[in-house]
Amino acid sequence: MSALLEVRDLSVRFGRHRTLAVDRVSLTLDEGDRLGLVGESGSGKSVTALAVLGLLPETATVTGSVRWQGREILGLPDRELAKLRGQEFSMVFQEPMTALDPLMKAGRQVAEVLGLHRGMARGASRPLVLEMLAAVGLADPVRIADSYPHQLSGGQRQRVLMAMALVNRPDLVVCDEPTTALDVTVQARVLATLDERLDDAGAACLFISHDLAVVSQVCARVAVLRHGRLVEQGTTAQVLGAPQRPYTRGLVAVASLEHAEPGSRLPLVDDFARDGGAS
Amino acid sequence: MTTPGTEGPLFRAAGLTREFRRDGRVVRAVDGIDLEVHRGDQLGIVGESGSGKTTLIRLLAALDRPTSGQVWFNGQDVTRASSKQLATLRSQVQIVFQDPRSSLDPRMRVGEIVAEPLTSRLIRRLPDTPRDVRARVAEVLELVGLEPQMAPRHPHEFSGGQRQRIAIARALAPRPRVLIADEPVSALDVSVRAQVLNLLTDLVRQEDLTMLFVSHDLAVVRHVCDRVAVMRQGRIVEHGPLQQVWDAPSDPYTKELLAAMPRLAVT
Repeated sequence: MSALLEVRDLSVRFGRHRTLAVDRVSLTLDEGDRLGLVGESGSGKSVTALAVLGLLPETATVTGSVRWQGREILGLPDRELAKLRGQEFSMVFQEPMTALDPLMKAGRQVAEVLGLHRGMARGASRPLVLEMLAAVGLADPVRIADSYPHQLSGGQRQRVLMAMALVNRPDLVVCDEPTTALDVTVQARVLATLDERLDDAGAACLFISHDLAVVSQVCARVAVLRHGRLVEQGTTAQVLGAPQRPYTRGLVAVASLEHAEPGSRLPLVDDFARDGGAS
Repeated sequence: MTTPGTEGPLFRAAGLTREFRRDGRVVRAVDGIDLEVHRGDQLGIVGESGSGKTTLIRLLAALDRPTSGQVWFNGQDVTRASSKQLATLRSQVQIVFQDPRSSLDPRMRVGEIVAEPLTSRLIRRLPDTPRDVRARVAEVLELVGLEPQMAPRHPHEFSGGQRQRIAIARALAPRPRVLIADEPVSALDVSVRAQVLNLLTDLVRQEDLTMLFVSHDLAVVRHVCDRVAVMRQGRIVEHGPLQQVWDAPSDPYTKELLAAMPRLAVT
C-alpha cells in the first residue's frame, strides 16, 4: 500500500538566477501521521509546503516527485489540484487576517468551502458551519458566523481558518506557523483544539514552525530543514532527546528558554553550527 | 519646572485609568493602576492581548493621557505637563516596538532613522543630547552589533533580527535612562529571539538602563527582568520578584500563563 503523501527529491528554484530554495527534500506521511517541519526563516519550510500543495507562483521551477495516495500530483493542471485542495488536503496559514476575506462574514467563508467542494447550497450548509465552528472551540458559533474578520480576535480568526480547513474532512492538513502570531495562552488553547480535531478526523498533519517546543506538542515526527536541505529526520523523541546534527542541537538549545539561568547569555544556533557549514 | 528628584521612584502611577469608547460602549483599558518603578529596575509587564499592557506603557511614556489618575516621572507630574516640559522625558524614555517591519520608515536610511531622536526639535536642545550626530549614530550602531558602514542602507535590506537591532540603536541614540520594550521579540524566530535577548541583557548592564519589558511570554520576561507585574483586563493581578512569581504564582491567571508556555515535550 502506498503512503498518503510521498515527496521525493523535491527541489524548488526561483527567478532568473535559479536560486535554490529547496534542495532534494524527501518526506513521507502515512495516514494520520503528524510530521513537524522545523527550521529558521528562509530554511525553505514554507516553500516545501507550498510546492506540495501546488501553490507556488509561476516564477518557481519545481522538480522531483509528489505522490498523493500513489498518484503523481506535481505538474497537475491547477483545475485538478484545486479539486484536491480543500477536499483531500487543506491548509491553515499564519496570518489569519490576510488568509480571510475581510469583506465576507466568517460563517459564509466556511460555507463557501463546503459549497465549492460538496456543491452544497448556502442555506443547507448553515447547520454544518455552526457545528464546525463549535467543534474548533468557538463558544458562540452563531455570533462568530455573523461577524466579519475584523470583529474577531486573533485566536478566533485562527479558529475560523481551522474550521475552513477541517470542514471537508480532509486526509491531510498543512499548518504553516498557525499559532505564531498568537499569545501563549491562546496558542496553547488553539494547539489543544487542533490536536483533538486531527485525532477525531484521523487526519494527517504537516506542521511548519520555527519553534521546536510548539512542534513537539503536536507532532510525533520531526524533520529539520536548513538552507533548503533536510538536516535530520526522526521521531520527536529521537530528534529532541538525542539530536544527531550540531544544527539540530542548536535549535533544541534556543527553544528551551525556561531552562536558562535568568540573565545568562543564551545559547545561539551559531554556537553549534556555523553558517555555511555542513551542519 | 521643579528640580528632578533623585530619591523617589523614577515612575509613579496612582489610580491610573484610561477609558476608550468602542461601538458606543466604554472600555476601561487600564483600570486604577498603582505602580512604582525605581532606577535600575527591570520590570516585566505580562498579559495577553487586550490586557492593557501597551496602554499602560503609553501612559507612562506620556504618549497618551489618562482618563483619571496621575503619572510622575522623576517627581514631575507628566499628566498635566506641556509638550515643552515633557522634553526631558522624551529623551530619557525610549521605546522599542514589536514589529520592526512597521516601526521603521521604509523610505528612510538606517542612519537617518537612528539619528531621528537626536535631531527632534524638543530633544536636540537638551544639555545631555549628543551633539555630533554622525559620531553618535556610528557609536550606537556598533553598540547593537551592526556595522556603522550600514548607515546609508534602507530597512528592507536587513533581516528581522537586524531590523530590531536598528530599532534598539535608535532608542539608545539620545542616551536614555529608561528603555521600554513592547513585545520586542514576539515577531522574531526563536533563534533570532536569543540574539536580541542577549543584546538587551548586555545593554541594560553596560548603559545602566532601567527597563520596562512588555510581553505575553513569561519565559522571555523571566530571562531579562527581576520583577514582574501580571496584567489582566486593565488591572495588575499579581506583582512581585520574578523568581517568586515563577516558582509560586498566587493568582490563577498567572498559573494559566505559566502552564501555557510552550515547552519541549518529548512524547
